[in-house]
Amino acid sequence: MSITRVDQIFALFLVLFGFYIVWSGFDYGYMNGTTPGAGFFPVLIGGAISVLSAFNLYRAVAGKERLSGGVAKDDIAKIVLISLAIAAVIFLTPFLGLTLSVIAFMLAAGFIIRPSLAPGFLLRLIPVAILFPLFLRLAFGVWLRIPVPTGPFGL
Amino acid sequence: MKRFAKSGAVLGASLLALGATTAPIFAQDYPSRDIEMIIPFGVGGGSDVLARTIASVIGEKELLPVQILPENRPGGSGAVGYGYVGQQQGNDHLIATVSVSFFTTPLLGASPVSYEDFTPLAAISYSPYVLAVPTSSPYESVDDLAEVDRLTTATVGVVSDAALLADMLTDSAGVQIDAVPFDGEGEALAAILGGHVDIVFMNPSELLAQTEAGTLRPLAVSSAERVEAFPDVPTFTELGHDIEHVQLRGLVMPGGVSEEVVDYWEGILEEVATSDEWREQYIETYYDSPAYLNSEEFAALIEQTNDRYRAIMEEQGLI
Amino acid sequence: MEVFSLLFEGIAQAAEPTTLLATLFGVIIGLLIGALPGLGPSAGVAIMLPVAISLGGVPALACLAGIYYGSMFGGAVTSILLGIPGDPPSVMTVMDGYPMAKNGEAGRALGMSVFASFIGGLIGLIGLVTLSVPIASAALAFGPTEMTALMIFALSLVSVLGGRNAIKGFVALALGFWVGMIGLDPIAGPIRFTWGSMDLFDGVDFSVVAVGLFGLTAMFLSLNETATSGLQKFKFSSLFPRIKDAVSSRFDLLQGSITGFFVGVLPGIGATAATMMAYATSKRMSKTPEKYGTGHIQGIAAPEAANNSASYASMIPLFTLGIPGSATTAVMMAGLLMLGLQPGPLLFINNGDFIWAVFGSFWIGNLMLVFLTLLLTPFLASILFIATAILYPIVFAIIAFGVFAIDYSMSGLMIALAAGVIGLVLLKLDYPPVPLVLGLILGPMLERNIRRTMIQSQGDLMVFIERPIALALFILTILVIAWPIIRNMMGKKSNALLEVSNSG
Repeated sequence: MSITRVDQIFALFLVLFGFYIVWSGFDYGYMNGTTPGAGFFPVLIGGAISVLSAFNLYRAVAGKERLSGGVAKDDIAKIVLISLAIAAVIFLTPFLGLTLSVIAFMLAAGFIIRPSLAPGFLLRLIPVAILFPLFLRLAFGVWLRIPVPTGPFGL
Repeated sequence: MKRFAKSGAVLGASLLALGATTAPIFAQDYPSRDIEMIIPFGVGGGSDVLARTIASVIGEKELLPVQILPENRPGGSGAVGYGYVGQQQGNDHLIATVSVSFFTTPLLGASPVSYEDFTPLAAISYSPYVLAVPTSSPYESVDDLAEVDRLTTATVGVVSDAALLADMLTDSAGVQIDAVPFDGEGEALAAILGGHVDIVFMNPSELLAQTEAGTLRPLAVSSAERVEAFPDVPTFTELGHDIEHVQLRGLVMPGGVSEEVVDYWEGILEEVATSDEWREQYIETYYDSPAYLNSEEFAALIEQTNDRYRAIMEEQGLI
Repeated sequence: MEVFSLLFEGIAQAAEPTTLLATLFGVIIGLLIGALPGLGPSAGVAIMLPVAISLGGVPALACLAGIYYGSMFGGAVTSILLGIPGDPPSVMTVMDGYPMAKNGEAGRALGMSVFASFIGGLIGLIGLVTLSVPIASAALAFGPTEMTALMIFALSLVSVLGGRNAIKGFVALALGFWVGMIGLDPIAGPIRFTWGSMDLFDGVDFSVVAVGLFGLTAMFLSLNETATSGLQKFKFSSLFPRIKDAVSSRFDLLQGSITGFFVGVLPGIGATAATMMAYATSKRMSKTPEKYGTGHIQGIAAPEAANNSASYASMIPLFTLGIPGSATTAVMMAGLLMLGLQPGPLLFINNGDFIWAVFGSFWIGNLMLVFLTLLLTPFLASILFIATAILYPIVFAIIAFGVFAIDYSMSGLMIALAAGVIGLVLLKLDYPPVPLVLGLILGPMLERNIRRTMIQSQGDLMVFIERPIALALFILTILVIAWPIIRNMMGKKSNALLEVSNSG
């Protein structure tokens, strides 16, 4: 899928999304007696998003919008993997605690960015991935007294 | 269980003999571990200070054989913290303080629990609201306010005690009062000092510095009796307005807690309410009014407050 | 001048060992909290409140305030080095600081942020001791009507910050407005755009969005090591600040400091809006506006001077009137109460010694920060030479803890991730991210103040021209919008003159 096609789809999405905001705005109440209600701004803003995006959609379809370039396939794979790894931290934390989840994440992220098993890299990544979250656990949990979610081993 | 009954009987007898309420009936069995105290708001706010002061007074007076561990669980205007407490029915090692959001967030349908999911323990003081105007204002009394057609007031949040009181005054004095909601006490105070609104309802601790400095003039207080910090300011009832509404400082537990536990906490909280430590650390610092309400009285007032909020929210078309 | 003798007494008092140590402790914690993405000054001051109060008296407040203004220095560090705003008021520093770091001028950029922070702090402090009483009363004249006018003025200023495609810039601005509406509507009460989620009830935290939109997006774009490693060639000179930058940016420093001071003193506006206005003004006044956003040194000077100046100014209503104008000063007010002091108009009269000693500690703290940060600059700048595969996991880890600490929940990380992905899409499709954060900061203030004004005036729009301050701001707004046209005409004239003198 080319970047131009993405631009067209995104603009179309925004046109529809603007309609949704306007529709919600009328639901919240456009006016409240003589004063603007909770829906007043959503109606205006949603309308602006729709109208402006319709214009963008026209430009994109007519080929008037030149975009600097897309993202290479390899990069997209890395971005998706890192995003999944962050999402994994969110879902694992209730079970493993934040510290262990972050240790796992750091190891994963290191290998996603540099898929290498070179000893020099491993010797740096593994100690950092284990010690740094422990240090953060100490700094946030003990010094700043923030109730960091804990998992097994009280970490 | 046998041991429990026996010790209960012995202690019960001594209790009768002393006529005191402090001795726990089942001291060996309850509390069996540390008490979790949930603060449904962030560090440094009013609820946080209140809860931590209660915990520290109980700690200093050694009223409990275990510790109270305060823990902040902010988010969702109290829905996160109150949800955590209210959903653990029957857990009698879990306490929380009440606040305005205790009522309003559930009424908006934004909380998994409501006041009915909690067991009221006791209230240990209350904060009245003071009606004040800028010193430069032409209004010298509540009667003067009743003369005009329309007034504006600064509130914090749409549904708040100040908005409730404005509504009550509208009904009682026959003057239209429009509430302008601001984002925090500071902004509301700036609005009244700058003359952008006509009147405010605020806690004594928020107002006293201003009235002492002569920037704001107090006109009436919302409690049944006059307030220590403002001895010359009449109550609304004295002025012939049927307005009485205060903010109670009290503790609740999840629903489904046994009578014995409630009795036990009533005893502890009565000691807190009457202690010098509580007076010094909270009442005098924040100009609260001392009071002790047992669980039944507290429960009745919680229900009354909830009904008042429901009524004002229905009036505004929020629910 | 009586104030200066009071101030010198205050500084002498603040130089007592316990206060000195408390100040040092405060500014170091502040630097850290400012530099950590996610955790900002308001959360930082609140978290440290119990520790600070245990110090008692002047040291307690010197420490709390130190955390606040220290974080203004610290926020720039992450903004410049990693493109992640360390705290909300350093968002604008990302615009030029991060490109400079990528061009191998991290030390220079950090140095500029230190100079700017120091100068901004100094001007803020001079204002604090000499103008606090009159300026506090003047700030009270700003009610909802004036705030509305100010926000419209601010939006007219910042409209220069859009990207190449103006329409996409406005779409981004509108999207920012929309994000600002999420949560409980504070004026009329309904819950907007939360889709039943408790976590969205209180709205979306600005620092979380900024971390995602700038930080995660910037990291997503540089995950490919082979593409980015060329930029990070070691150069010793890139580690050190340059004094001459401060001289060349003197007008931007002054402008930023003054903007920061006057905007910062207004309750409910805050340092972040002040930095946006300072940056935009700097770009408007510049002869080379096209350089802003590409690593222009003045683009760091103005906002960094503004946020430090604003941090002192925002304490003025607290100390002179007992009005906390922001979340951070509200926590400081709680601290004053815990110490048994009564914040209000009589605070200066009843506890003058105390306040002057606290003010004295600000001067010492500001100096401490300059030395600390200048010493640290080379070490901080060398962070960039750590390999991406090691550095980014570390940064992600800090973000995870820092974002959790804002509201003790994992939902922030989810919002940051979403903002990061959306930020990437927007950037690739040429939607500029800056208008989005502008909308998020200024939108809610505009919406709420317009609606407050309309409640007060019962829907009468005439109030906007009946009130002198509002009217003046609207006239300024028109001038700002018309300025490019006027300058265009003047530019032609001066070019003509130049040609005449050349030929003559």
